[in-house]
Amino acid sequence: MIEVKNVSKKYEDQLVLQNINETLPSSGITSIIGPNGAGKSTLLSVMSRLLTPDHGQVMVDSLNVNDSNSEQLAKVLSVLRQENHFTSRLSVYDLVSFGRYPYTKGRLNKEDQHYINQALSFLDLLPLANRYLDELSGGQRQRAFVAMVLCQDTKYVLLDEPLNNLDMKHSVAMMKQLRRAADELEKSIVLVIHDINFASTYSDHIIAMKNGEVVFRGVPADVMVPSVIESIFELPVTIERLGGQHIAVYYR
Amino acid sequence: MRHRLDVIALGSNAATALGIPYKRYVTGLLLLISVLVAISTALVGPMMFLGLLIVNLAYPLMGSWRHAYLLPGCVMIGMIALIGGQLILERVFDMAGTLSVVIEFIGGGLFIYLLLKKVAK
Repeated sequence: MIEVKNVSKKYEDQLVLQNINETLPSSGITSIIGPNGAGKSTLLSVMSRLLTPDHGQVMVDSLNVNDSNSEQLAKVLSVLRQENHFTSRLSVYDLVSFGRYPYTKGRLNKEDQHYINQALSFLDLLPLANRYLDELSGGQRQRAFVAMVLCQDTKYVLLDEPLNNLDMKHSVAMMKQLRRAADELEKSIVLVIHDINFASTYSDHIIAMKNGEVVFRGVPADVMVPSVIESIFELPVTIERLGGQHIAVYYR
Repeated sequence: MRHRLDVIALGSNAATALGIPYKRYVTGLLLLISVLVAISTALVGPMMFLGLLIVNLAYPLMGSWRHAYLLPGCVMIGMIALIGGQLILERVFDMAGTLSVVIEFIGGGLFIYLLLKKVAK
């Protein structure tokens, strides 16, 4: 369970998180949706200790994120932010192998190699394993970063827009893999995601944010209601039921 | 230590996510580096741009991101530059004790080049 308690965060004078109180389940997929600048990424960064909140605290399975041992937390919670620029010139294999650092501190053993290969094949990256990151397309690079996070093999996986730069095929493949990881390995996956239809069709819970506050939470069927979506995004939508799924139509 | 340096080179976000207490560790590193610089300056005198020069040579020459190779590579290149340079100056050109001038000239040039490259970006 991730418990967010009274968390507030300011940038300069602007309040980007206003007294957030949320409990995220210890398994399943939770999607955070909302318009640009709603504070979604900031919340994700605070939950993963990449940002320190001005007030409040975050507990992950009774570990306080801000003062507990960072090493210990790295075995429980992994995170991928939106923008990743590394100065080191790494191959895909090298990058993914960094995911094992919390366990073996850079001395890779047989078990690590097993995890690395598993993560690479999970994301369809085995043929690219020896390529350098700067030789890859945006989507391939994005998959490599997600592979690194999965390789860390933590119970909680926090991803900021994992579908960035991915085409339709790889978006669906990515969501299916995340779904599988949640179902079979009982991981808790928290996504910041822009495509509400992906959020609707793959998540167990949806948290909607606006202006630094959580304005709605619930199962997809509860959130995917025209009045709710319209109030969050300030855009007229119709919700269709297709094959048991709730699909928002808002394109024109 | 060398593995931890590899992770730190990924930047603060990635290093923190992998469990490194980034701020504490980087502060410690900076302190260690200042002590090492202080000692070598006390021993051989100031050579401002030597470090910059050697590090920027080491990255492309070693062709690796692993500090297991970068650190010894740096030491080797540093020794070759200083001892080799001194040797050439003394034996080939028959000049005495002006190596630091040469190093500063090349290193200073590199410094300006890197600066301009940054500005151009």
